[in-house]
Amino acid sequence: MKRTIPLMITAVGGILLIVATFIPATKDWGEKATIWFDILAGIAFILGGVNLLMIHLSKVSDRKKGWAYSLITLLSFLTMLFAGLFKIGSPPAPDQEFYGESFAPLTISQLPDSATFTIPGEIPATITDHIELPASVRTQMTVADGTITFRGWMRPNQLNDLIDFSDNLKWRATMEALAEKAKPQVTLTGSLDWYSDHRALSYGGVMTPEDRTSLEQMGSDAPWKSAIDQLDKLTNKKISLNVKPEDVPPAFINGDKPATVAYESSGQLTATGDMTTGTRDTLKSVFPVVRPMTPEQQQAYWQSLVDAGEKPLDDDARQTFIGILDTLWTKQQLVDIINAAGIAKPGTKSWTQLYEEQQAGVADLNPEIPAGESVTLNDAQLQAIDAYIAAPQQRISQLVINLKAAGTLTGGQQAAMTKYLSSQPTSGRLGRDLTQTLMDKNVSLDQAQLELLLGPYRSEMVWARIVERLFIASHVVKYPYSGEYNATGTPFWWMYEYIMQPLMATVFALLAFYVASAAFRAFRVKNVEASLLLGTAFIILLGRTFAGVWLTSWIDPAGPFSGFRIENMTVWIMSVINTAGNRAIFIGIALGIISTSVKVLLGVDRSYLGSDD
Amino acid sequence: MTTTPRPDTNQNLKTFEKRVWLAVILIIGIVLMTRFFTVKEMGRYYAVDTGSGLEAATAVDKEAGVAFVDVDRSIGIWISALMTIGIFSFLYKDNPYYKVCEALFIGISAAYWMVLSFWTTIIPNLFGKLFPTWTQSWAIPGLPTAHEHDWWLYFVPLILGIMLLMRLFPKYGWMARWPLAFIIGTTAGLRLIGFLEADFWGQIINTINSFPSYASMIEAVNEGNYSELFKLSNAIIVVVSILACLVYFFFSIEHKGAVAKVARLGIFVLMVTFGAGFGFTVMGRIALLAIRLEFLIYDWLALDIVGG
Repeated sequence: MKRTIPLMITAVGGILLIVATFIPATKDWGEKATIWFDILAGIAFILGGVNLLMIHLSKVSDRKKGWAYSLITLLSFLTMLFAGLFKIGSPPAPDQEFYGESFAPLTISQLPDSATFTIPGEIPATITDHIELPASVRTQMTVADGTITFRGWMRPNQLNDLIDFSDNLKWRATMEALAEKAKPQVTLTGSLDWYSDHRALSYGGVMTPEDRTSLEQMGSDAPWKSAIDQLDKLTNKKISLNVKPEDVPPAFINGDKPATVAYESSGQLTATGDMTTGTRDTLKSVFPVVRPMTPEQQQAYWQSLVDAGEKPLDDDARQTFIGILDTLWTKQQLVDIINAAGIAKPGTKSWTQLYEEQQAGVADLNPEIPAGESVTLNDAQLQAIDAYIAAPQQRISQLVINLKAAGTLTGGQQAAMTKYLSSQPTSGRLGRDLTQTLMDKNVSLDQAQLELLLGPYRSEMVWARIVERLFIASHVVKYPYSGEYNATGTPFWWMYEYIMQPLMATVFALLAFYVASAAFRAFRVKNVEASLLLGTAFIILLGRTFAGVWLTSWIDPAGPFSGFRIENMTVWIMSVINTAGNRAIFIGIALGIISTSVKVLLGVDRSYLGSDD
Repeated sequence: MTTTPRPDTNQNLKTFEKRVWLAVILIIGIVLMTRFFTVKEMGRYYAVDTGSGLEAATAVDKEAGVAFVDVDRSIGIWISALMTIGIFSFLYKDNPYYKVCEALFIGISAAYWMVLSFWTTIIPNLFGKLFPTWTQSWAIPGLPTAHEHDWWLYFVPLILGIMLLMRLFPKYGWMARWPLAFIIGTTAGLRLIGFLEADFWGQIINTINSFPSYASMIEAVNEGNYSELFKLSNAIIVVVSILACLVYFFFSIEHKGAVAKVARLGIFVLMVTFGAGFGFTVMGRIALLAIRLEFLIYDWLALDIVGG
């Protein structure tokens, strides 16, 4: 039995994979066997690690020769293992932290009845019994006795999964109707959510007393009340940072601030609740973008740089400097982008509309809604853009207000404009780019000139760090172990980057010396075969160097003997003779592996089982 | 005639050698320390905190005063440099410095592969399938908590895995044969299919496909373009060479007469292939060596040599 069962396992495992390759219906078996193989290979690594531990522990405890090296191996092994398994220093995965949302534990059974939504409907008959509902809704949705029940509130991704579940029009219309029903009340839409996989009630932003009252009216059970309590506390918690007043940009102090962030002139920056990434980005981007410059403004900027320092700057430097300023955005580019975004595009009908049309007897259903009228900027809006360019401190949000007041501005236009302007350089970024370009051109700037160009950049960097600190401090970590085990900056990463990787690369680099030494001993021109080997290696090595190419550069590259140029000979050898030799070797290896595999699977080769002892 | 040195002479030589090395290490140490304290770039990693992480600082960052010396990564550069030199020290002879590097490499790489397999295979593919709710609650928040319909099948690799670990206990070592048999069987199956498709059929098909089509050849020749003929001649050489090599690999018949001549051609082709392979290997190793030397010269010593 000790040998028979392993032999059968070998045969079944291997033959299953071979069969799965040729029979599509069994493809799933093959995939499963491959995953099992991966799991066992993973466990084999653990076995290897533990084995290493035991061997070296015994060597150390017995004080065998070289035990000190074993001790180093052990310590490095345990340190790396500890750092990696416990993900020491690894920040949580940013895409799983739900920044801006606060969580309170709440299971599906603890959701109030008011969060249960029903609609008449059935799973389409075309869906066979064994196919399950999409994973994203499986715990929240039940279909029974002609009624579809959904617990919690449906998110857009869940609706998309349900729509994709079947192409039946009635099903899709029903799901759209269900999604419309399964929404929190209007005042809570966008803030309230419940995540089935996380078993948590979520609230985004700050909970107001009115919101709390609305939530309390939804249910009266103790777990629900407790969850609301927790969320109220979390969303109203205040986190403050002491910052130097000179590090806070005037644009932030004087401009509109996000509702959840406050600043006191004493230097206290306070965030209420979990800060969203949107708020963080808004805070970071308080620095106004640089406006397009007229030639006079460009010259004035250049002159201020010249005047700031004691060293003269030559005309080449001036041209470089002005060249960078010429690449700034223009009014016309902005207008074109807004107008392009205002071109009307055809819309798409909802599934409900299409289903109604089908029921009304429309034979040829057309999902497209004809495009409406395009929107372009009017004269008043163009003047608002002129005013924005003339006022360097004006924020993009103010420009949006002005454009809306002066005419029509669609959501698409607003998004396109904001995206375009936000990507333009601020005075800090412009200063950095100017300095970089001047340094690349070996222009020597003195301290005062550097300060003029880089002062704003420094201020922006300092502010970005403050904002990021506040963002991290305001966030309650939900999954501390969700980060990457090898995240940059962690001890595990450090040991890989600065010990393992250089050691590995150097060991391989060391082989360069041994290969050269082996070649010296082996490459004696004793017969035709050895001459061929040596000659080819010589040509290939020469062909990859500058000297090799130079040696045969006198041969006309377009002439009949161009094939004798060393770089062409290298290519020909590699693509013809080397290809042929390698193919023959590969075919030989493949035949060898196939026959060995068949011998193993049929139990002819049993050496892997070892002896019966 | 050679004479064997007396034991005390050997001892004296060893002591002398040790002293020479100590002196060399001391001098190098003094030079390095002097350079470290006089050249502000040497052995230091300048970083800039962008708020969302550290990045390597540029010259502009340094001028702007936002760059700072990252102690962790600076120590890393020193460790990395010392490890590199430690491995190179083997070129002289096997020595304790090299052995320390070797011991470190063994320990760290063993733990690296263990951690890698734990987080990338065992957690998502085994625990994620068997206990999705538990796995989701701490390790993979994005994992759906609903079981797959055949989730229980994953108890098989779990049990086989436990049996594999039984190899650590000599009394129950035989239990590891089952998972080992599974690994051998699936490896044999995967390899058989993989090599059959990629290295057997794949090579034959690629060889056949390298022939230009008759129509394209005629068209090209009519246009005065002989590149297609060159392609054809190359394809013929490839086919003849492959067949010659395969004849050489075929040991079921005696290599004499015509077979011996064809087999000898096969040997020639193989020798050219090995020569090309050797050339490429040497170039690859030298490139790696250059990278290590660049690291030592530019990243660690911050020497201002052309090309840096």
